[in-house]
Amino acid sequence: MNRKWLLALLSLAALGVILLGITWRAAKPMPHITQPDQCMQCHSDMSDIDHAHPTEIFGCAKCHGGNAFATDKTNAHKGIVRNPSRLEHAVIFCSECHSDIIKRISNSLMQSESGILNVLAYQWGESRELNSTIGIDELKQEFNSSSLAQNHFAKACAACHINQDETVFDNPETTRGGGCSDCHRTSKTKGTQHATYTTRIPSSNCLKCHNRSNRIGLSYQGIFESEGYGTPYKEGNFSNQLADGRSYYALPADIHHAEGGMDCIDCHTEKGVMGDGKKHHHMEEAEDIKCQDCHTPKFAPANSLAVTLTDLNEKMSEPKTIGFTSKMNSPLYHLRPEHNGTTLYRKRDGKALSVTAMSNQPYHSDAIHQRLDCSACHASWAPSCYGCHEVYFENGKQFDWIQKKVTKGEWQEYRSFLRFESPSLGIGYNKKIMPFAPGCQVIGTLFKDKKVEKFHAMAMAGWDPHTTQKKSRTCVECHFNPATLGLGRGNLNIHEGNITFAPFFQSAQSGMPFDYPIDAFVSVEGKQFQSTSRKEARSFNKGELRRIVEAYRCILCHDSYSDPIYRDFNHSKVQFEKEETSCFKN
Amino acid sequence: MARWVSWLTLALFVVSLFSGLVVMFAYHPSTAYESIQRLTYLTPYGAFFRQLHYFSSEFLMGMLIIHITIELMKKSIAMRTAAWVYGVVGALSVVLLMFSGFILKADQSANAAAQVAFTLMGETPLLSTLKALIQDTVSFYHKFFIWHIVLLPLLLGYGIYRHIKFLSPKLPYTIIATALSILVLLLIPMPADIIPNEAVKHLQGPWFFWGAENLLQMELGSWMVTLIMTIPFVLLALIILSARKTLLKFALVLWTLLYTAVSLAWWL
Repeated sequence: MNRKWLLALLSLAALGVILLGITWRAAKPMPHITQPDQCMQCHSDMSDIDHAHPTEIFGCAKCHGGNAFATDKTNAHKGIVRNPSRLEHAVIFCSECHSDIIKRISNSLMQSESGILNVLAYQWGESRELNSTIGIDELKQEFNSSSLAQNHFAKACAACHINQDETVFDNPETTRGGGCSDCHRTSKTKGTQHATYTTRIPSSNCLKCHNRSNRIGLSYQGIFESEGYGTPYKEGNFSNQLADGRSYYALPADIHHAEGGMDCIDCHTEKGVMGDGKKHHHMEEAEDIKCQDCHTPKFAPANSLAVTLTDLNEKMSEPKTIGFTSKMNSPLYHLRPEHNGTTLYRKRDGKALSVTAMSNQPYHSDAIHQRLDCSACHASWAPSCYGCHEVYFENGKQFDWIQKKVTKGEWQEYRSFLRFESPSLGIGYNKKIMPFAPGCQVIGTLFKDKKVEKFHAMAMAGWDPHTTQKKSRTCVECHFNPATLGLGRGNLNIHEGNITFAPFFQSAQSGMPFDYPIDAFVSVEGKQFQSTSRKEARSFNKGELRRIVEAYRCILCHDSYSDPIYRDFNHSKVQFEKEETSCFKN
Repeated sequence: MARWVSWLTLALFVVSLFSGLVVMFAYHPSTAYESIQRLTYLTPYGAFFRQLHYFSSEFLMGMLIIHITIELMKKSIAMRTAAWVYGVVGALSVVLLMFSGFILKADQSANAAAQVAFTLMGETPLLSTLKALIQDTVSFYHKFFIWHIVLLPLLLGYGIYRHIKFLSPKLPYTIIATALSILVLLLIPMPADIIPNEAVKHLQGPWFFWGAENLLQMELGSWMVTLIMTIPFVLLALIILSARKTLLKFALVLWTLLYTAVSLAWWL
């Protein structure tokens, strides 16, 4: 066979292959093209996540990744992510519209937990820096295994942060994290029912984390974690138990909850919660809202953010004039001037609530009380957990919430006692007088290989306990209650100008490694016993204590602000000093 | 044998050119990745022509190497100097066409390969000034697209024309080249695109650049790697000019062996 014949035969065979190939291709069915992506070929019946992200517009791949054009499962599901709201995915899938929020939340304290970590390191004497921004992301990169504070943080605190891996939790009731889902998700995906998301964040989502430490979420609802007795029994079972088994007493809830049924988001703005983009050191720097923002509001025409947020909320009419926060000028789109007053529309359901304006009565306007934070008088109680006994077993093992595995070292936590009544007062982070409670009083015992080490780090912290009542604490409650003054529980006396105090609690007799009462923030001489975690925060000094207690002499007779002496207190004071008042007539 | 290979190489160029023409009309540089995926999964016969373009180009590269090897194995080179050098230019054009085609698929590996190329160019004297010819800050793929569909094919076509004085292939070889490409696309799946967010341990560029990638990982300087990559083309061009052809051929074989070894180092 010559070359020409061979070439001809080869060409003929090749032609056959070409025809066969094209025919084979033609035999395959043409793909049925669906909109907005080919995921709809199988998932067209998937429900919407919310009204802002309808499936018929967004499809699946826009958020979940994968191949939006592929018509077979294998190729379509390549690179798919189950939860695109985790921050590392959100930055890829959601940045087209939400880049600002992703940056803000990534830098926020609820993601970094740097506030907790740095206060812990400071109080445990491992750092002299109170304003560090080292947080979870930094610990993931570089973990100092010799740091007790970091060890404790990883084992006991780091479970709660926005971007915690939600799959590490065994119990769905206690699952936290998941990025945006942590707050915004209201139900999980089930079959063709996609998980639902909302900007009307239910308080239950906040309570997943805000139920321990200073327990704000619980206190707001009138729940005070008790000593664990669980009594009285009800129908053969413990009464008043939380889902995690902790017992509680039902105390007066915050008035905003009890009377208004308000959720956390009715006060806390999106910027206050998700951050303003800066890496803040402490909660109060990131916080946006103040009581005055609603009770002596500033109104202005609604801005574009207010309109967007109202539209997302779906429960209230388009805003025209609204309130704005005094700190960050965030729109309070649900706070509106109406009917010669102020109306707050509850975000959950749009119910109108009438807001009481702050009165101009002497108790608010008198110069003598200008240093008082609202919470100093209106917070009726505060959960105060005294004596946090931290026991560390170096050879034990415990789950590490940063490394997400069981690692060496185990912490166990016990406490001395809990109290709710008469929260101490002191000078807070805002240089105003506010409630203080233990935060934290650590008495540590470290069981190492062949030795036992001990340390203690006693601190008090000031915060708004979220137990606001319309009626304030009484004059006596502040001016002659040693617990409120920060002296601790005991007998307070004033005799011939001398103030004396006999405490009930004797630390030394209880085996504590210090000689002051565990519930004492300060001595009558003004010596501060316990540290705080803010430069500005402190107990009352000697002069302040004396001024407060000496006022008790007046309060004995003039125990109400309706008393005439408070109409012009400075004038009354001058008259008193000249001994021209009725006090001297008998 | 030598003639068969030459004709088949030319035929594969023509098959690659025409299948590329079809793909070109479905490609949009401003939505590069999306248009490639749309072509692959949704356009009727889109995947067929994309694979035909891919396999015919890969065969072209393979046949080109065989063609060069056969010509170098001959005792004497029966070709004018200019024609030979234009052949080398054509070979370089094929490599650049293959690389720009790899970039144009716009998946993760393509983006990574483009970044490596930009870095190599940026850190190499002389080449750094030419970086603007391929890098576009507005639309990443526009300049690659122009190079791939206009400039490089023209350069290759001109190189072939000056190399062999004609461009038209013989029909039987064209049929065989087409059939060969179709047969392979029916039997072997084309490497899957790595979608932008897919987690992969190791991204790789086109197979003929694996060696360069590994050399970069060995922390050889960028300009050194660029220099190494130009060696075979310089040697090929010099062979026709130099009297010491055997030495240059030996150097080329040595380079090929070493580069192959370095290319496969990642797998070992």
